[in-house]
Amino acid sequence: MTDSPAGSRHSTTEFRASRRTFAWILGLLIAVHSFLVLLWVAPVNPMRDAVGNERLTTYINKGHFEQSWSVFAPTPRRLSDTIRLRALVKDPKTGQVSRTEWVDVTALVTRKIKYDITPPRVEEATRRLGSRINAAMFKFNQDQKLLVQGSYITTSTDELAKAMLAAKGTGAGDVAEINAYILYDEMLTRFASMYTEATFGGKVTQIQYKVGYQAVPPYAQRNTVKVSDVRVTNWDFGWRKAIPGTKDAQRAFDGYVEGLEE
Amino acid sequence: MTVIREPDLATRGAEEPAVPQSRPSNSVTNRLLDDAVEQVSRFEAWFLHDKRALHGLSLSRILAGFAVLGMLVTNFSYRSITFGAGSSWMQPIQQGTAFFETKLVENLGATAFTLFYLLAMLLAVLYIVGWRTKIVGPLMLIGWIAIIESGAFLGDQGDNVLRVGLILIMFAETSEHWSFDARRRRKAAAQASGSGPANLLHNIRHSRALLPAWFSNTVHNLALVALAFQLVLIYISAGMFKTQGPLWQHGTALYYPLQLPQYEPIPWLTDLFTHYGVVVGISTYMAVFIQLFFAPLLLNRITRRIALTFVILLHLGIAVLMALPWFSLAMVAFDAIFVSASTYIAMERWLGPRLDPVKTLFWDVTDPIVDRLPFGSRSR
Repeated sequence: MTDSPAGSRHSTTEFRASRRTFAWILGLLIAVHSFLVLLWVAPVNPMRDAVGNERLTTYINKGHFEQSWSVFAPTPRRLSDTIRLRALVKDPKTGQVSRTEWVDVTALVTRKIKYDITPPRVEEATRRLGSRINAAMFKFNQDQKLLVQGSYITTSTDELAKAMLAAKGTGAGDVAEINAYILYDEMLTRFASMYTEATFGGKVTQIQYKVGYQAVPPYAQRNTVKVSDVRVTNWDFGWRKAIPGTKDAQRAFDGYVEGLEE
Repeated sequence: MTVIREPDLATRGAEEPAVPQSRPSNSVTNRLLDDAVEQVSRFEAWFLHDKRALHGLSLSRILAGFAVLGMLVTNFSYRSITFGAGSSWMQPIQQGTAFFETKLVENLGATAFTLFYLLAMLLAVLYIVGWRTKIVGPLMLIGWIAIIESGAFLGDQGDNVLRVGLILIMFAETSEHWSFDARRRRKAAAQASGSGPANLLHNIRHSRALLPAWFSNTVHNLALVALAFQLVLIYISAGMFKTQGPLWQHGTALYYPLQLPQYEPIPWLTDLFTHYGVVVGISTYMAVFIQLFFAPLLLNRITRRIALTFVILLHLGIAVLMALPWFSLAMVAFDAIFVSASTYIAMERWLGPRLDPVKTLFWDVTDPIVDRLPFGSRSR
């Protein structure tokens, strides 16, 4: 961070008191900003509580300074998330509804990104959705896990959220986890609706997803077992009413699926 | 407070920050006060006297521009499903975004979005080459945020560091070296040799300073310090989080994410890396220690070079082994501010003559084009 030894064209000797005062005031503002960013990125601490989490969040987000550096820490990610999709598709000519086979989307993505060190970020889509849903499922109790296995075709998933909240017991998934699940359920339903329509054609009326994970083998087994050798542990979910996209959106999915299946 | 006198500066030369005249000392208290006043004056002079790290910030501009361009290019084929109309599957998250820039693209049709995307790519290219940097930079930043934050669910920390870093360097002078703006200034200085009116339009046309030096120096240097602090924060907090984890303490943490398909683009290379426990252990500990002690290592010339070398190697590893090149490039881009001007000058001296044929060809091709662009040196 040192400057050119010869000085630059910006060199000046105008050091009047008013200018120095300006520099100090501006410097103070930068110091306050830097302190707030420090509080934001640091692990939870009493100083952050003193400033107030809501106030800090507002400043950081509105100022475009959102960031988090607990990447792969304290515990690195150890689960490989998987997603499979299937759909009920209505033939537009005959009106006949048929159930498709499961598509292992994450397996297709894995094949696609091999040897690509600059993968497009859409290839992260299903894994991220899987990771978020897996995280929520780990927090749910047995009753809540059973509830998500129900189908929500004519009933909104808001009803599912209410039922899950009612089933909340001690130590089970709380409001935040339930809301997170409902959010990612909708995103995955939207994704699956367009994805399966691009894959199978016709009009998708309902979709079903299966989210699972494979745990990375322990370090001691690193040279003998690969994560792909580990059995997938799946969570079951019921059918969801399809949420179709616009024509432009469906066209984007058509192109994406075509690229994956090449 | 002691006022710095101009004759002092004139005799000391531009490279030395001015120091105050000492008062006669007749006690320890006076000497301590004099020392304190001198330190404060030096501190003020560092901010006001000149713009710092001009080489480093110029390199930051180029590399950050490449990171922006790289992200846009590698996602171009899937721009709609990731950021455009096809990204409606992310709608529940998009609705709550704090980034007002996304309003620019949210209602665009496929063709209009593609044009917007191409324009952002063009701006990134212009930013890299330093053409009208002060105007192009903020426009590129707005365009890039509008696109990237429309698909925030698929983003990573590379987006955050790039956004924060770019916001800060928009307040700094980043076109001093290796830019079309610098070339325009040199040509204008050579042709005019001091003649001609120094009005606002003339200064804009020739990329000359529009604001008083004391003001722009202060803003530049504060932005630089804020960026340096931000980078140090990133490394220290990342290091602190790692020290809390048992797997990092055991030296095996790096093995786990590298097994995940999305972070294993070249399986045989990952297998080679994780095969020997010693390699995993040393790499894991190096990742922790280099981040945790990054700030103190910057304080000494030798340790600074060691720290920067390891940080670059760390990010090279992340780029290749984990397929996260744009995050890595963004970090390295801003780390460039920690390299001293003398190192850049030495590199320029060594590289300059070797690159002369390429430079000549580059200017021969670009000069006629640039001269015809709006506000080019031929436009009057």
